[in-house]
Formats: sequence, C-alpha cells, structure tokens
Amino acid sequence: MTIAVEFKNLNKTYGAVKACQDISFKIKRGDIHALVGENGAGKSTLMNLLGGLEQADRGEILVHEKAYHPTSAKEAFACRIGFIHQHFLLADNLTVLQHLILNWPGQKLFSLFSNSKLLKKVETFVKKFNWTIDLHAKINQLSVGEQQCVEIIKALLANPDIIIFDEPTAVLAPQEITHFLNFLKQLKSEGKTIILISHKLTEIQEVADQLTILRHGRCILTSETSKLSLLEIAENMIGQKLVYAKDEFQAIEKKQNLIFIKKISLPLRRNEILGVAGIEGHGQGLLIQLILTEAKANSVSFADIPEDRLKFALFEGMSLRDHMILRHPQLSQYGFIRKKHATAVTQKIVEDWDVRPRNIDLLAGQFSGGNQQKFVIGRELFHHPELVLAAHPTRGVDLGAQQMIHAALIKQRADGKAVVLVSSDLDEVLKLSDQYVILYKLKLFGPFKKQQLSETEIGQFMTGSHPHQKKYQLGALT
Amino acid sequence: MRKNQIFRYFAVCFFSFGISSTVFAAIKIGLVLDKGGKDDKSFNTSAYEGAKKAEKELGIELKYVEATDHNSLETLHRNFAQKKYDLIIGIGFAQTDAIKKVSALFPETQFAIVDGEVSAKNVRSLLFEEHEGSFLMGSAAAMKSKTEVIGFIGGMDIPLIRRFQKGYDAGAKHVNPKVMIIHNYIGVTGEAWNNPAKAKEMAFSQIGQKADVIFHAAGASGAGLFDAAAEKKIFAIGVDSNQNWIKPGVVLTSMLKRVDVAVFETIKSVTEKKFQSGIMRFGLKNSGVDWALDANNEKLWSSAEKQKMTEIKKQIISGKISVPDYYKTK
Amino acid sequence: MSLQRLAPWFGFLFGLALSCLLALFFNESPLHVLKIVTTSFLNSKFDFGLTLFYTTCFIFSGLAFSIPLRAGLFHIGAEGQLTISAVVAAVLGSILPTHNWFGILIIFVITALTGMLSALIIALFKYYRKAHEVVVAIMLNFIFAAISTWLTINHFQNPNSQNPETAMIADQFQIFKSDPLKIYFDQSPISLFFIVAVAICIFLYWLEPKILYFQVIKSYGANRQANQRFGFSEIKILATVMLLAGFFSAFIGLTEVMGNTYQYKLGFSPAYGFLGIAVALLARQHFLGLIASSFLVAILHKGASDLDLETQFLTRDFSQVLQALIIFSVAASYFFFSRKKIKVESEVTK
Repeated sequence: MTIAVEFKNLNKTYGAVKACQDISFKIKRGDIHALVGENGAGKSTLMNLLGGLEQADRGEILVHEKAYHPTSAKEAFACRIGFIHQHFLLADNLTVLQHLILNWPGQKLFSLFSNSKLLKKVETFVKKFNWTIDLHAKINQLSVGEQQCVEIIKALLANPDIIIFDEPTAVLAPQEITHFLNFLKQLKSEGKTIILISHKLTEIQEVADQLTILRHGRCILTSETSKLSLLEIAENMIGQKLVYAKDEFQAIEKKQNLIFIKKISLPLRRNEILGVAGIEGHGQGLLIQLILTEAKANSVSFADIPEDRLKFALFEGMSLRDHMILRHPQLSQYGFIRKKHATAVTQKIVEDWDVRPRNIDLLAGQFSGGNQQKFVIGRELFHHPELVLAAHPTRGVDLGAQQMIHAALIKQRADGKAVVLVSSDLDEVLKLSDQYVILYKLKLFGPFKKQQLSETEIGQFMTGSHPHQKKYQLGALT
Repeated sequence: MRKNQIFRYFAVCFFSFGISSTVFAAIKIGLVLDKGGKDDKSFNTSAYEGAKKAEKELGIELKYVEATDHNSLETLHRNFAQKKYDLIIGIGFAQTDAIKKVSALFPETQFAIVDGEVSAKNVRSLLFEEHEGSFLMGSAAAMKSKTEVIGFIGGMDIPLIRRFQKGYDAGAKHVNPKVMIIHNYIGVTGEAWNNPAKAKEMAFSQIGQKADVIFHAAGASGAGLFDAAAEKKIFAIGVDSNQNWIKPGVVLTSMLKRVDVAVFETIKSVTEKKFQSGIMRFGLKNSGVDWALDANNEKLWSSAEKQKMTEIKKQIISGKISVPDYYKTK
Repeated sequence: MSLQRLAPWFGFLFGLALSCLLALFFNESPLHVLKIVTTSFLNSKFDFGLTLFYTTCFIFSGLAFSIPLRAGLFHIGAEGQLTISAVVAAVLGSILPTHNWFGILIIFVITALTGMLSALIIALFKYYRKAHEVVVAIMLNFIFAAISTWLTINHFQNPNSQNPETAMIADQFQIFKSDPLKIYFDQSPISLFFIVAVAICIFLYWLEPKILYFQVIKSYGANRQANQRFGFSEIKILATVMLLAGFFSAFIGLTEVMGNTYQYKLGFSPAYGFLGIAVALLARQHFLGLIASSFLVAILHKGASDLDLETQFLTRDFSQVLQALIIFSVAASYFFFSRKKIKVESEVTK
C-alpha cells in the first residue's frame, strides 16, 4: 500500500503559541484517515498547511512520496488536494450552478463557458451519490446540509485524489449524517484518500480506517481505529483519565411553571431542562428571541447563552471584566463602574470556571473558543437567573469543557431553575433534557418524553417526514 | 556610481540649507495675492505682472505668496514684516483687516492695499475708479450691439462689482437709451471668482435672451464667458488685465484696471524713497483705468467707433459726463 | 500591541518623508522643507499662539470624530456642525440686547445646542431610516454650509465690509480679547479655549474607564449585535455619541467666533472637521494622545502654509499635497497594521 501523505517533523508557531510541534505521521492511500483532538490541538493548522493556506516553519510534507511545498490554496488544488471547510465559503446570492461555474477549475476571468457541459457533469455527481439538490436554487435558500453538498461538489469537480473534510457532520441531521457517511465510503471505494476531522467519535469508529490523535500541537498516536475503544480515544485526546461527573439527574416530580409562552403553548417549568432539537436554521434564532422577549415581559431574570458567542455574546476587543460590567448593572453605581468589585467578581468566575489564562484584563478575542464559552456561561449564571437559555452551549468546545457545561446545566435544574437547551447535537439533547421539542420549518413539535421516540423517528420529525407530524404540532413561530 | 549619486544628492540637500538664508541687500517686496491666485488671468495676474516688472526694472527682491485661509492672511503679512520686508502689498479687499492689524504692529514697515481702504501712517490704499472704466465698456457694448441687448456677468455680489455694473449700465444708456441690459451674478461667496462653468451657463442664458455683447467682472470665472462667446459667435468684454489675447476676434476689448501700474508705481516710490501713505485713486485721468486696444482687437473697431470712444473718455475726464458711483449713491 | 499603537505614527513619518522627498521635483531641498514644516511655529510668539489655536480646533474636531468612532460611527459631519454653530454664535453675539455675563451664557448654551441638534440629525437618520452616517453627514455638511452662507449674506452681513461675513459681536462679548493667553501670545488667535480643550481631554481620559456608559458605547462599536442582545437601547447610544460630537464641533465655532475673529467669516475653517479625522486616527482615539496629535497636525498645518513664503518654488498647492499625503499614509498605516494584526489573532485562537 502506498503512502498518500506524509508529515515529517512539521512545526508551526503563531507568536508564542506552538500550534504544531514535530508532527510526523503517514496517511495511506485509499484510506479514510480520521484526525481527532480537542479544540486548539492543531488539527485545523495541520490541514491548513496541507491545503496551502499556511506555510510550515520547519519540517516537510510529502504527497505521493514527493516533496510538497504549497504556498497557496491554488497550488494545493493543482496537486489534487480538495478541502471542504467547516465554514462554507459560498456566495449567497448566486444559484448553485452559477456558484459552481464561478469555481470551475481552470476558469479564467471572462472566459466563455458552456453551462450545459457543467450541468451534465454536476448532474452525474448528484445522481451518483443520490443527492437531491436543486441546481437553480439560490445558495441562501438551501439548507445547511445542501450547502455542504454544494461545497463538496465544488471540491469534487477538480477530481482530487486527497480530500480533507473539516467537521462535516456538525451541522447535519441524523439521516443526513448516515447518508454522508455512506458517501464517504463510496468515495473511498473509488480510491480517494480521505482525511476526516471530527469531534464525533462514534462516526469515526464507523468509517475511519486509521486515526491520529493530536494534543496541544503534538501527535500522540496513529493507529488503526478498530484497535482503540471510544474511551481510549477520548482519554488520549484530553491527556488524562476521564472522570464522569456523577449525573445528579434525579427525577423531580413537582414542577412549577415559570413562564407559559402562549404563542407556541409551551410552558417553561422550574426543575426542568427542556431540549430543543432540530436542524439548524429551522427557527432556533426566532424561538430564542421569543423566549427572551417573554422573559423580559414577565421580568424573569435570565441567562442568555447564545447560539453564536462571537456574534452575540462577546466583544472581541474588550476585556473579560468589561463584559461583566456590561452584563450586570449591579457592578456599577450611579453610572460609575465599581472597578474593585467587578475585578473580584470576574476573577472568581474565571477561577470557578477554569478559564485559561486566568487574566481578566485579556481581551475576549484572545481566548480560545472553549475558554470563551466557559466565561460566557459563568458570566450568564452569575446573577442566579430563574431561566437559563442555552443555545448550542458545547459547540466547538473540548471534552473537558463539555462535561463542565453539562454538569452546570444539570445543577441549574436541581437548583430549581427552568433550563432551555437548544442544540443541533441530538445526543446532547437526549442526554440532558427531561423532555424535548423538535423544530422544523419554524414550527414546533412535541413535547416528547425522553424515550418516547426512536432516533429514526426523531430524524423524520427533523426533516418533516414523520407520518403523524401534524398531530404533534405545538405552534408556529411566524 | 550609484553611491556617488546618493552622496551628491545629500550634498545638495545640505548646501541648499545654507543658501536659503542668504541675505540680499536689495529692497525686499512682499506680495500677498488673493485666494484667486496668480494665474486668474485677471486681477491677481495683473498685480503679479506689475510686481514682476518692478523686479526686472528696479532690481528689487520680490517674494509673492497666495493666501490659503483667513487666518493665514494675517500670518503672511506678519511674516513678511518680521523678515523686515520694506514694502508689503496686499491684493484684494479681503486683506483689509489683516493689514489694518499688522500695519499697527509694525509701524516701520510700509504697506499697500489694492481695493481696500486702510487709514494708517504706513499704509497706502490703492483705489480704482472702476465705474469710469465700466462706463466706457457700457458705451462700447451699446455701440457694437446689433440686437440692442447686452449682458453683464458679475462675480461675487458685493458693492465693488455693483459699482462696475452701475457704470456699465450708465455707459450703455449714454450711447443708446433703448438698449436692454441683462445682469447676472455668479454667487455670493469667494467661490464666485473661480467658477467658469457657471459663468458659461449664464452667458448662454443671456445669449438666449438675444444679448450679443457681454461684459464680465468675475475674475477667473470669466474664462467661461469667453468660451460661450466663441461658441455662439458674439462679443465678450474682458476685465482687469488685457484679456484681448485670450480669444482674438471674440473679445471686443478689455476694461483695464491697471493694478500692475498701481503696484509698479508703489514699488517705485519705495525704491526712490518717496513712499506716501494715504489714498491713491486710479481713474481714466491717470490711466489707472482704461480700455484695451491692441493687435488682437484692432480689426473689430472702425475708426469712427474708435473716435467715439476717445470722445467719451475725454468727456469723462473733463467732467462733462458724470459717471454714477455706486459707493456714493448707495 | 505596541507596534500597532505606533503604526499611525510610522505612517505619519512616512508621509512626511515622502512629501519632503517630493520637494525634490521642485528643486527644493527636502531637508529645508522639513525644517520649515517642523519649526516654523517657533518663529515668533504669534506663530506659536496661532499653532496652539489650530491645536485647539483640532482637539475639538478630533473629539467630535473619535467619540462616535467608539460606537463604530464614521462621523465626518463636524464641518457642517461647526459652520452652523459659528454662524449662530456670531449672530447671537451681534443681536443679543443683554450685554452682560448672562448674554455670554446664552451664546454658549445656544451655540452648543445648535451643534448638538445638528449632529443629532445623523443619529436619527441612522436609527429610523437606516441611512449610512457618512452619506447623511455629507449631505448635512452641504446643507449647513448653504444655510450659513444664506444667513450671512442675506440677513447678517457686516455692513462695514465687502467680505462675506457677519457683523462683529458686541464689544462686551469680546471677553477673550484680553484673556491672558492672547496677551501673552501677542494677540494671536489663541484664547483660553485652548485650556478648555486640553482640560476636556484630560477629564475624559480620567473619566472614560469609570463610566459605565462609555463601555456601553464602546461595546456597541465592537459588536452591535451582541450589544443589542445585552438589551441596550440603540437610539440612546447613537444619540449620545452624536450629541457629544455636535457639542465638540460647536466649540470649534465658539473658539473662532468668541476667541478669534469675533465674527463669522465665510469659509473660516480650513476643513477642521476633516483634519480632525486624521488627528483622531493618529491618536488611535486615545484622549491624551489627541492633544499630542492635534499639536503635531497643527505644527504641520502652520508649517505647510509657510512653505509658500519660505521657499522659492513651492506654492500653497504643495502644502495641500503635503497634508494630503500625510493624512493618507496615516489612514493607510492604520488599516494596514490593524488588518494584519486581526488576521494573526484569529489564527491563534483557532
């Protein structure tokens, strides 16, 4: 078996941060090779080096056993390396076809192009992989899964040998994930080499032949996936034994209503975690807005852990203390900031929530995603709110932080708060919530008890194909 | 080779440092031009030429500057005075305040101001009898007009230009009482002196109303009138400098406001140590105001017409014709 | 971090060097030009006073730009606001019948209100009509210039002058004519407003980290969506910054009318409002830095207008080229350095 990619003593530093330290491993041709590690472990950096977006400080990369020094994404493209990014780089206002034409390999500015030729080619792809996608729909009308298809088609048009997928399943519904994993296998059967970055270890176990674990910029091990258990993988990722926090998930019988949201006839009750499942973009934002408005109208104190922390919860250029001051009026008096008090309070949050580095004067943008999220949650829970609204609270955070956040939500429940957990990660919803609702096309379905539906049924609700869907409709958000 | 060049370049830099402060023994004249700048082909150009002539003929050292903003006017005068310039000339009424202030602070330095009136021991005010000149222009326009409609385009709407207009109207009516005169002013701010596009537009509109001779008193904006006149084949009359050369055959004549003469004479009085303060008036009598007749417009005039112009001029000088003055009748 | 802070100063030096080298085309020695530009303010007490007068105006216009910038607003409307305020101050000064301290108070208050209300329009348009502040400000600059001209020429023209200017304010209102600074600096345009400007900067520097609402404004500029999610009122933020900006713009008008010419002269401002942008960018919005950068730009402004006088071949046009080059390179360095920095930061956090 030949080697598709080999990394030799690769090093890359950004300022004081060592993103990659002496990374060496091999990827076999025709394999699905998974790359796992916590956030900031160096996975993205490594793939950026391979994709030509970054240049290594030291060390080299061999592709098909030839030296390879890409200086731009274009060169990587020429070496037939395809890269499907986690965040899609799509032009919103174009149709799928227009977008593909724009990205047609070898396309020159102003060169004439026959649409029909491309159309035929794309159609064969779509047929081959059993996708349903309207080539004349505008990109911004597509679901996230469909957008990902476009991104994949875009990469496949260049007929790459090596394809990098960065967190491809993070945004997909369960059925879509199954579909996607089958698609990966199909690609493999065609002889492509696939590099898969994922947080979801079960998926990796299902499809990956080989797996490399990265931690703090170092390569911990490379092995065949089948030789490692899930627990072993997880422990190697975080570098210590996993101690599962005892789930204080006791059944609580008497539950008071905190607020009742008339519009969707949904009660938010104390001592309860209400899960909201559904594919992203089906109205999560609106639901959150609705709940927030209701909370404000009923003057219920609330914690707001928003779906996108950089967009809605953080000011990258401001310090952690400033965030606390802005969020909590009790840290000021007559409009003057009580700096000493604010400092003490912020310091406590940073310590309680293990935010690293423990420097409250650092700007929010200088922390890693996981630490940002821990700070946001700490900040939001500071004033002991009655209602906790958590949207995708564990997105893009490492395993350690995930556990911490989950434990915190469970504790809020035990303390008599009403908790709403919005997540596109179905496992998370099923694990934490007392009952849950499902969002589909701005409509709410449910509520369902924990074991009420099978995973397939949930998938049907999420895609609007359940035979009794109408019966369970609670209300619409529009 | 390359090194050598760089070295030479630096050498030049250092040497020129020294040269700039070299002192000449000659009489030093500072000329502060108006916002219009020395290339307005009109008022400022005229002043500049007078000073240049003095530089050439009288061997003085001339330094001219153009004002950027109101505050800088005073600074410029002060700087000249501090550098011990012998005579500082301010061009334009806008400098009146600055000269009033600076001349009081530097009683040893002599000042002159064109178009402004400052009564101080060391200031000479150079005033022009514009109404006399424009009376002549009015007569010329009425004489040459076939449609009996003539036009006037003023720059900024201020008393000085009203004075032009009043003289012009009187002159036209003097020759032909039936003549109709169209008046337009470009604007009310300093911009009006520098807006040829608007002048052109106004000229077209006046031509549309059958005007076939148009006189402008609008500084650099006048260029627009000349363009329009050339396009529509009518006559234009220039102002301040001799503008006959700009469009020969189109420019009927120019009302000379001999700022150059005034400037030159003032400089000369300083070199001869005969500088006198007070008001000096320049009119038809002492050729401070006149009409321009040269190779460029000679052919446009018959000898009878020339005769008539000379006649009117004589009558104004002798007082036989009294020209209304906007300043006095206001 | 420190490099980023210094970036505009590099830009400043680069622009200065570039424009001095440009002088070579005109047969002038760059060093000579540099010497004039940087030292001409020391020629006399009067010149120094004039430079401090420019500094005063630049500080105010720098404030008028940098406070809205904290909320992410690119405020270029100072020019219109200072024009209309100056007219109002001059008109009040010439028509008010009460010639005592109360009259002076009225002039100050109404002028400040004029500036504030004229700036508030931008905030209202931005909030209610979603119009971009730059576009509104450009329009307003034009409108205010036209109103000022109309008022001056048609209603309050100085009868003793052919210049387009208002009548002088009453003698009793010319209190700054005999203020100690003006006397010390040989009757140059400077007045006690200079002390006021510097004091305001120091006060704001001291106050800024202590006031909650400054943080709210800053957070609005940093991330509007998050700010809204925190529940702050958008119109209140916009109105606050614009009212402050208008207040400071009005002070430029007061500095001119009450402290310098005692009347409104059409076109008195050599674009203070726009030069204030360069000042604020140079100071990176730092309140104390604003004093330094204002002084620097004032030196330059003064020096540049002297180029004409001091050199053989350079004219006033060159002085404008010089200022433009410096402003341009300051702005360029600002964006160049900060873009680079942001890119590196985002990668570290990946």
